[in-house]
Amino acid sequence: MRLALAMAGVLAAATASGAGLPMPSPDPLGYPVPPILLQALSYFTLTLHFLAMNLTVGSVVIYLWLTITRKQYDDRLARYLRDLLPLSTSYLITFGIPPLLFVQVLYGQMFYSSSILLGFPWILVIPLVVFLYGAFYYQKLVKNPEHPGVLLLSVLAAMALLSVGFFFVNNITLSVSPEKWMGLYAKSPGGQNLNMDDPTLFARWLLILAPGFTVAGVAILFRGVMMLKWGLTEEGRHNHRIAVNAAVLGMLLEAVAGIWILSAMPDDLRSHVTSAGLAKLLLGLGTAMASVGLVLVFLGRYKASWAYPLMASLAFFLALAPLVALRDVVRIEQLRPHFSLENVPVHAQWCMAGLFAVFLVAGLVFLLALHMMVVPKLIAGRRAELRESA
Amino acid sequence: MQAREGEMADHMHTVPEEALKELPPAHKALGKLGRALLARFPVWPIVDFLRNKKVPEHRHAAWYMMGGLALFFFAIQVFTGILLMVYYRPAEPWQSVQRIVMEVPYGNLMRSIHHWSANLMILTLFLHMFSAYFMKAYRAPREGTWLVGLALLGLCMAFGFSGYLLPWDDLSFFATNVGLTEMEKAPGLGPWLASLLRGGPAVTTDTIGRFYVLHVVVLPLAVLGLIGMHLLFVQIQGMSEPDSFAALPACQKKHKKFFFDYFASEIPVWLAAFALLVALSAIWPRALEAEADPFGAAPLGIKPEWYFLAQYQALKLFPGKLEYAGMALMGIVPLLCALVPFFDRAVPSDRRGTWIERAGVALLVGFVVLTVWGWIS
Amino acid sequence: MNYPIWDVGGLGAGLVVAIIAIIHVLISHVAVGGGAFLVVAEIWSRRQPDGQRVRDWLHTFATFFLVYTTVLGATTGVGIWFSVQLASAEAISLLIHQFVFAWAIEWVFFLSELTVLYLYYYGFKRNTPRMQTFLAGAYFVIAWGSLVVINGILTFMLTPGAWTIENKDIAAGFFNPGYFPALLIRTVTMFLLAGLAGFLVASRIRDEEFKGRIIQFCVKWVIPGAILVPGLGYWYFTTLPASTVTILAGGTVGVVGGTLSALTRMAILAGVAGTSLVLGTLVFAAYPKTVNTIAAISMLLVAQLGIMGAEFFREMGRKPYVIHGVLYSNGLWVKDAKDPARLNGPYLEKAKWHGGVASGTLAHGEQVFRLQCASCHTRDGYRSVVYRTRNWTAGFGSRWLGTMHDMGVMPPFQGDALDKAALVAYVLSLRGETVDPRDLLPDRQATAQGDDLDPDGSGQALPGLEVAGAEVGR
Repeated sequence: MRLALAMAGVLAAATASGAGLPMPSPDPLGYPVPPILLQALSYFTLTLHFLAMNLTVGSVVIYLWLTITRKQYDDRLARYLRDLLPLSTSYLITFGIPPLLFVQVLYGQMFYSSSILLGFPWILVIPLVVFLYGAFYYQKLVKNPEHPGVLLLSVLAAMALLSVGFFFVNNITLSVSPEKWMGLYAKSPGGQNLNMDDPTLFARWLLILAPGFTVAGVAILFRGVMMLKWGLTEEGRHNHRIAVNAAVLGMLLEAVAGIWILSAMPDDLRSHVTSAGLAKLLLGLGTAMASVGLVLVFLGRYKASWAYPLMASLAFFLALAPLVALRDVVRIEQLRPHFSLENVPVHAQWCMAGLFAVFLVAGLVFLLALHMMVVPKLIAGRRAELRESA
Repeated sequence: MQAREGEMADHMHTVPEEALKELPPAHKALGKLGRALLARFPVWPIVDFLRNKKVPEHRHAAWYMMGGLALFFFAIQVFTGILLMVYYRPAEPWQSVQRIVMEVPYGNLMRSIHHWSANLMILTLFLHMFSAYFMKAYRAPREGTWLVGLALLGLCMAFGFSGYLLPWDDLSFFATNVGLTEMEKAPGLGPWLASLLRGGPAVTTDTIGRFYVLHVVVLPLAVLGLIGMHLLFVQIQGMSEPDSFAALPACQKKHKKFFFDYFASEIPVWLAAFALLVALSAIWPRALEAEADPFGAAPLGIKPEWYFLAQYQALKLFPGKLEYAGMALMGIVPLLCALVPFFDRAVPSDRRGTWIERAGVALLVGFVVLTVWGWIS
Repeated sequence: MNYPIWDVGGLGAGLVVAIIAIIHVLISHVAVGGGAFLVVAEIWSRRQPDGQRVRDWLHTFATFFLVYTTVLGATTGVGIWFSVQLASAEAISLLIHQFVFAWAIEWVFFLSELTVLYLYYYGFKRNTPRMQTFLAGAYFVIAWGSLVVINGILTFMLTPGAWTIENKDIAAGFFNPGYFPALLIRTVTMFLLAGLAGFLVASRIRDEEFKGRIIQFCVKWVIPGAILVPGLGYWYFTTLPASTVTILAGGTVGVVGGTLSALTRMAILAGVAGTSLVLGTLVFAAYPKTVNTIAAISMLLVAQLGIMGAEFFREMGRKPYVIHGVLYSNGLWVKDAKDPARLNGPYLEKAKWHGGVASGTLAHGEQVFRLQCASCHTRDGYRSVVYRTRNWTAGFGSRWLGTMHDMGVMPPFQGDALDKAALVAYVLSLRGETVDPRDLLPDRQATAQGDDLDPDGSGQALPGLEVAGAEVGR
């Protein structure tokens, strides 16, 4: 009893002033440009990362489902997803780099601390990604991907992918909870920790994974359009049915996750999200655009038109981007007692920022031009192949 | 003058046409030299023999390289060992090793290479033994090769044991002491052998003399002789073929000429082994501890070298009086290994073959587990 | 002292970084050099009479190349980044804040590299020959561009040149003295490695005559690099800071003394790796039909050992800094270390993450160990402290800590006499000796050597802890 009281006393003393928290000081170099620019870049790239991640998660789950049920046309759609997976994983990783870079510039001291405290699962991300990436290539290149052993490998790869997401959610939630750091550090200095007692942890995990079905659905919608344009009407309609179901399922799960996370949040944070002007705007915008996207998917079904899947992709991008920004708004709110962006000095590197802009624009233009030259040929070749096999 | 040359030619062997074909043309300097040498030293039957020697090509063929690799490490041992002998003085062991490490140019490097090469040699010997075991290369008519190979492994471990004491530092002194104490406990020859090796009741500089002679004279002679036998047997009996390969129809069996095709593919492996030796020695040179103090306290965590760890750990599993059971086990396992060729009847569907395989897996797993256990405990 | 320590048992965080980095260096150099290999092989294949067969082989090479460089190359690159966050957050934070846009440009290169490689690979059978050659060329230029960028950040750590924490001169830091020699070494190495990767893929060819031709093609990629790299290494060496040269030329301190300076060992390793590669490749050239997978892997192993040695000695040369002259390996800023009051005051008052341990206890010593030693040393594993202090007596330790910085490879000790005593007591406790840290304080040690130590060590608890303790009492 005395001990419990004593513990409570120490904790109270430590948390009351905030002085007991081991908050590292920000980097002495300060920000290289005003933080708003870094935030904008991070929102843009993180949205792309989430889309690629969702595409991968949704594709692998739908792929496994199709391979196990094996109805008509399933095998050909499964092959499409199987071919897609290594590609989407590449972009999932590549688009993951800049947000991780910018979060370290903006919130480095929080992010590094939580990464070290979760050191073990955090470094485990690397072998897991190597494994799942390798497994996706293997199932694409192997001669008989339906072999139970290969399927088991695919299931393991899917589980590895979900675990990586789980570890990321752990790290991000822990980075905004400095009050837990010392406890975890004492528990396992080797970083064999997880942030399991965060009330929003599982809701957040579901929140980032659920749109996977929707994004994979849009990818399947694209394939359906291609089939319809090539006169494979039956198969195109089959693809579109799956696409619509997947998209709706993803949005339903996302709604569940959204309600779950709002109810799991601490009261003050929830009232901030639902009442503060900016947060409310972002949340509303995201929800509205997601609904628009879903309607477009629905309208586009059975139609041999690129416009619908293209518009739907844009809508889902525009739905995700405000939610990504909202995520940052919540983070800033959670960190308010310990840290605020305005207090970090800015030592501007405008020249470097300009150089980056030049490279970025040049790179994107170059890639776009190459795509326009190469991709139509690839699609035409694939079409000829499909005709032969049909 | 001319007559003399003709006279000499009569005594010389005629060089066969096939051997001449491989040489550079007769009017070139190298061609002339080659012809002259071949006429004086008629080695073409050996070259021919090596050229006709065939190495089976199959999935497990990589394991054939282990023997050659061990031989390569042995050659390195001889070379670095001779260099170390130049400065090593058994009368002042630690001081002379310290001089090798601190003063002699590249002495530290040579000592480190000697150390690492010893370890890698024993490692490759173990791999060689286990691969021969699982490919059933010990079967008739190769029992002799197998027995000589086992003896070579034993001698190389004795090499390790005797060489370990020579620097006469803290670690080597106490580790040797532990080893000899264990040996002394063995019933029968144990006490006598331990006393013979020690040259008295305790490890002293007298022991150094004995170990030194063992390490640089007795063991090298014995090992060289046995290596000669081992290689001779292999040449006479040819390469063993694993069951899966032997069962193939003749048209599907692929072979590689030993000389120069197989040999050429071994060179890169040896180069890599050499680079590995140098890298290990450069990054982790062998340290020399403080001079042994027989009356001082043993340093913490004294353990034998890794290739004795399994035996050491196994003995620890038999406390008190049971230790004799452990000792017996130490004796029985090598004996059983030696008897395997006489037990295996070489019939593919024979149940004895399966049992031998299982026993081999058990031995391998046991060895690895005990070694790791000994290492971390 | 700003960040917690990732306390990974016998391995140490630094070794985790090293293991990931060694894999990455090999693969990433193959990834760049392989680009040039693809361009030349594209052109070469179209001049061969049996061009289709060569192109089929090239497709196999491209598959191997794509899978390995993306699955193992890109991911281990991110892996280095992850592990450095855990091992040395302070350093990666500095690098990222200074070079964030360089990294962002690097990322544009990654994105383009990856996309171009996919267009090349998936268009292998459908693109026109000109387009394929163009794509391979674009891939190579972009991939080499990513090397041009990352090389600036990597060399900055060892030779920051005219860059200082005050002037933040990014151009000086990026194009630092080590930049060009390192770039040239890496460029030559990557051609060499591309040839070695070619050997590996060619070793699987069944047709001996055809295999021979491919091997001969690859031989030309290996030989120049194997000869040039050791010489270029010397050029790089001449750009190193004087203190680094002293460390490398002076032999390793403490564990292994003797004539074998790090410099000698580095030179020998470079020479042996280079010579082995030349010899092995000559054997391949003379007997191309005999090249098998094991022989090809052996050559890659030689290259890997050479790289491992180079990286190992580069790390060694950086001691005791993580960023030379700016930041010590354990997160102490050089600018802070120059202030004696700050350096020699009670450590726990400045440090974070000690969890409020009572001062003058073994727990205090453990926290000092973690925050000041554990970034490089483990207790009794890799770079073991127990082994390095095996000859320490209780009195010697504190004195040694006071002077360790003068040896050149250790950062200065931060803290007062009590911090030293606590650390020494903790280190002794690791080998089973029980010592009360307070008994190690200079005023309790009736030895003459204690004079030079900071006499302040009255052993009073820290102010903050007193308050907490008082509250508990109530």
